[in-house]
Amino acid sequence: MTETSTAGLAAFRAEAEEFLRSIAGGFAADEAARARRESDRIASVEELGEGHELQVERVRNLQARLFDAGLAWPSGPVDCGGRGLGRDHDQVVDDLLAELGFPSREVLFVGLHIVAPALDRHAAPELRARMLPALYRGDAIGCQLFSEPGAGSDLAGVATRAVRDGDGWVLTGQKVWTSMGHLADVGEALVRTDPDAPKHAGMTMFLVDMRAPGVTVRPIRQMTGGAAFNEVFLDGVRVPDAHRIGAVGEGWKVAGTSLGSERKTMVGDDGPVSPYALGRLAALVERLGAADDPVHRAEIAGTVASVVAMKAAAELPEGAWGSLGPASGSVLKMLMTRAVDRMAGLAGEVLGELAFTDSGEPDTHAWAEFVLGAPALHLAGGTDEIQLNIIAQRGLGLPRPPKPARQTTEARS
Amino acid sequence: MSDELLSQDEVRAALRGYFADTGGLDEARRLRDAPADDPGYDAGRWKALAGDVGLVSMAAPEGAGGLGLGLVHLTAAAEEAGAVLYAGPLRASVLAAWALGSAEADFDGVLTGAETVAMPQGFAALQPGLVLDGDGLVGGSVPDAAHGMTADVLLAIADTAQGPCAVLVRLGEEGVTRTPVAATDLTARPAALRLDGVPAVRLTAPGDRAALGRVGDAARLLLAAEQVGGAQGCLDHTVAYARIRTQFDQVIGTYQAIQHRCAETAIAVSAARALVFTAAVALDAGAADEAHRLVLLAKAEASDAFEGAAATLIQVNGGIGFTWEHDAHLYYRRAKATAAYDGRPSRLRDEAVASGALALLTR
Repeated sequence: MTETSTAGLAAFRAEAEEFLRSIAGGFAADEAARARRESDRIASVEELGEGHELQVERVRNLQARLFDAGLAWPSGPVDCGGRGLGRDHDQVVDDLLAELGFPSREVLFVGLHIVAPALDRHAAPELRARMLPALYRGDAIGCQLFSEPGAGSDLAGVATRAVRDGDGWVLTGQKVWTSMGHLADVGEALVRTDPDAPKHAGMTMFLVDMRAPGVTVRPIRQMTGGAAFNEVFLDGVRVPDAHRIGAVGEGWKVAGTSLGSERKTMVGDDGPVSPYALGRLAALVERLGAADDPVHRAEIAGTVASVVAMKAAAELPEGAWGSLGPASGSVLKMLMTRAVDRMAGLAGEVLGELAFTDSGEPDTHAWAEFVLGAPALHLAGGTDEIQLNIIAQRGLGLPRPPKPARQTTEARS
Repeated sequence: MSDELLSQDEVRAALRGYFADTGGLDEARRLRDAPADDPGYDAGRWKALAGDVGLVSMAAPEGAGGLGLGLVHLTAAAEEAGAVLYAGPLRASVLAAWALGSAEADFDGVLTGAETVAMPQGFAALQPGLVLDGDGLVGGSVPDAAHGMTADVLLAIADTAQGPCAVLVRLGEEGVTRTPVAATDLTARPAALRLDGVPAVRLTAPGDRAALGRVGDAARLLLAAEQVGGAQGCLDHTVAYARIRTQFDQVIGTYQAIQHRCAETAIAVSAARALVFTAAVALDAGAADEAHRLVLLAKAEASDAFEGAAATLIQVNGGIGFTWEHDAHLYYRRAKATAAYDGRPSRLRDEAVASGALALLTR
């Protein structure tokens, strides 16, 4: 991380604020942003409502303005449209955008925080130089094509095949749980290129054009009622070799970069424990006077502690992690799910039946959606059980279980 | 600034190295079988820690001859000491040195470790059993002063006509009665102290509850840091055993039930450590109200983490973990006792909410 002087950061903030204020007018009228401010809705997992296509276009437009002004990726390398500044500069822009009421950039989350890190670290110079600016400018929305119906927790069990064909590859198979897949321009696809190699060694990562012939995207309706993820069918999709991310057979390593980045990002302000949700929860507890009720105090304290612990853990100095360092992303993800569970538990407890039957009263039934979304977070980004395996094996150094006689299942770690 | 002088990670590494080189748990293990009047720790080892490693002077304000390092550094040191159940007067001494700022009297001996410090086990509970009179003489009793049998100096809270204050009392022969007290934690050797007209130096102004509260928060936080270290120690021992013990023809550490139990412990320890860290940052920054709430939550979380980790240590070890020979009960005893000192978790959580902890959600 680049160190920054306080004065430098203040100057940057002033510059960013001046620019953002100059364009705020165009976005303050944003219907989706206003709906978010005025609506009662509160969710722990993303959902896309009606008219979201318009919202997506506005976010793309905003991101392009930010990029052209050098504010989309302050910490990024200069050759890819960044400014080579410290990560605290990214935070300054995020904070200002929230303060000034700009629309949420959630639709860009996967591309920026999961796909981009893999490209930055593993892609060939040409692909990297072309795609990173595209993602950061909002020209390309990214999605992640990792999970499959037969390979969720056992991610190394992916069966989607890529076969060499001249200067490219042909992909065939099915992916699932693809957030934003129906909006995405590109997908980061983990596929099997050598069925005879050991499970983890036979995979390769590609960047797939989601508009290419043979790609079919079908939304899946969630238990909360909305739809934000999809099934993706790859039927003889041609991908040029230049769109390979990392070496042939090293897909697992590339996936590790994306997954580690995802887990760490989930505890940030863009994750489910957002300043918006926290503000709403604090206001709810306050409005109901729950802190004065001895019955609720333990739950309030536990919720506050879990939220603070999650945020503070992300700031811990390196030495505080000790040998746990390589698994810190999994620890952070577990702290995030615990915080969300606590938040959902507290909201449900203080509201009681008000949360679950719609009386029309604002800020009551709205919390049911938050409560219903919580289970998804235990699954997304790797299940609790997988995170515990990673913590035990990679963080604590416990031995991996012996392989069954016929290699069928294996913890993803 | 102090951060550039010495990082928290460097303090952690130095202490870890010191304990690794000097036998770690040996001292606590020796105390297990020591007679009741044993001083409770190895004086030579303490002098090396305080003086050579510079543990105590780094806590003292620069004006008092110290490095002026903050609680972020002290909590890292306390964690490492807690991991090996260190029995010396670390918490009392660094706390006294850290609070020395306004004392007029000469306490150089404390900074070098030549003079050791005692303090009540539950210092932060702020219930003074001592009275400081207008002539600067203190009288009354402290029922459970850690290191009380041997300490040269007592850090405690005393009432005055203007309200309570923190004091340092030099424990000479005159007017001081020391009686050993049995304790569940075999690594603590508390004494009941009776004081009768003993000269004392004030560390905070009488009635200045904010200043006293700051010392109390620091005391509670250092205890929480020791608990986090204790929990880490339990986890390390649990994992080490799980890696070598075989059952049903398999190393038990390969079983998912064991792996997940260890991983859950690691998560709980990380959460408690993070709370201690962020509370230390707030105390160092002088954000008193916020720090107080964070300290209460940190101590509650650290108590739970330590109790859970100690229980796991015994369970994963099986029967041997319940024997006198094994170190597990030393951890378990300290976990149970420290969870009670300065308030059980349920009490602290209630206090945290009463003092406005909800505001931490959106800070």
